[in-house]
Amino acid sequence: MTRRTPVLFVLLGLPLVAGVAVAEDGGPPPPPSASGAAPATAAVSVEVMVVYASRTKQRRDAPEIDPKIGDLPELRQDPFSLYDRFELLQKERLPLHVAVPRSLTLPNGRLLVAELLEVLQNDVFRVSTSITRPGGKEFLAKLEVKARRGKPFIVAGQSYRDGILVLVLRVVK
Amino acid sequence: MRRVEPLRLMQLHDGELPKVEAAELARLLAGDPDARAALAGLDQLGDFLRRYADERSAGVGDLASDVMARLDEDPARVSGWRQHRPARLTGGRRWVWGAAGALAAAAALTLLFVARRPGAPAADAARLAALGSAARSAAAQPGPARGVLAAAPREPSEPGVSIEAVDFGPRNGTIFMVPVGGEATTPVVWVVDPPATSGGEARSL
Repeated sequence: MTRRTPVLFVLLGLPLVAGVAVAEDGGPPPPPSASGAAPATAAVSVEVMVVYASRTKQRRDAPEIDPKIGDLPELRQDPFSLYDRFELLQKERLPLHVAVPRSLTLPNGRLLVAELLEVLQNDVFRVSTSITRPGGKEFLAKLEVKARRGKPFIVAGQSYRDGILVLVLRVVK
Repeated sequence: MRRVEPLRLMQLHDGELPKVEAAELARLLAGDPDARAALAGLDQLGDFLRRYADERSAGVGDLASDVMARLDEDPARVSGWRQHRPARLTGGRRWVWGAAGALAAAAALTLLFVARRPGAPAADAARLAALGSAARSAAAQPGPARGVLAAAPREPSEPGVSIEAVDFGPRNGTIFMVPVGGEATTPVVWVVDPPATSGGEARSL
């Protein structure tokens, strides 16, 4: 091997390095999949429904549920049945990539952060979420779940106006 | 005729005027129907604000209590724990564990929310109840714990959503499951939060 060989390697390697750099600037690198095939997370999102639950002075026999919420039987069950009005305030989809946190500002000014930790088999995803107050103080420091696609989990209890916020989260494609 | 100034009217309403000035103003009011109406309006406004504040605070407080009371009525469903405020050492995020609390809390946090198996619904309920009571015991320990990551015990059936770890931080909270028809349940993480002060803005605590 001649003395020029290292220089040649460097010259040949530069475009590769540059290519990686461009890919990172253009967005988060796709996570590796178990099979080595195309990333499974590109089309995965977490859907966040922010519902305002309140109790009217004259309690209704049946709750008034915003039709935009859709079918969510949980709201008719205890302890949500203590509230009789449910209004959809926000419905957002946060695209998820492994180890890339995504955030959503809630109506109360707090920040919901969701992060895909791992893609498991059978449409199951390990997801971490947290809620921080304005200024960065933690409210819900961490909630980590394994969620099958389409199955909801709920984070409730944050005070809002005269009621609470009910966050309905589910991983969707 | 001397017109009653709005500021003095409010001072009279609030009982802030000296007796002599209050008597003088009362004499003026006798001949000023507009000022009397304005004073009556202040009374009504005050009544309204007091009533609104009372109802609002009473309603919110009762509701928060109702939620927890409702969960207490069905302990088998409360599969989480209520974390006490952790002891804080020096530094921003340095926390300690009580050994017993850590073990019990770890058990409580390794929750796997599953649709109850058709063959063994009671076993799941009992297990969840046990986890709940263990968690409450942990919360009662001195030197309360902060949430942990822990491996969840595996169930034969596939869960819809399993809670792997919860860290309520400085808050109290609980985890429970809501039945949604059939054998399915949805996990709910409930964080206890003081009522919002106004306009839906969260208080900066």
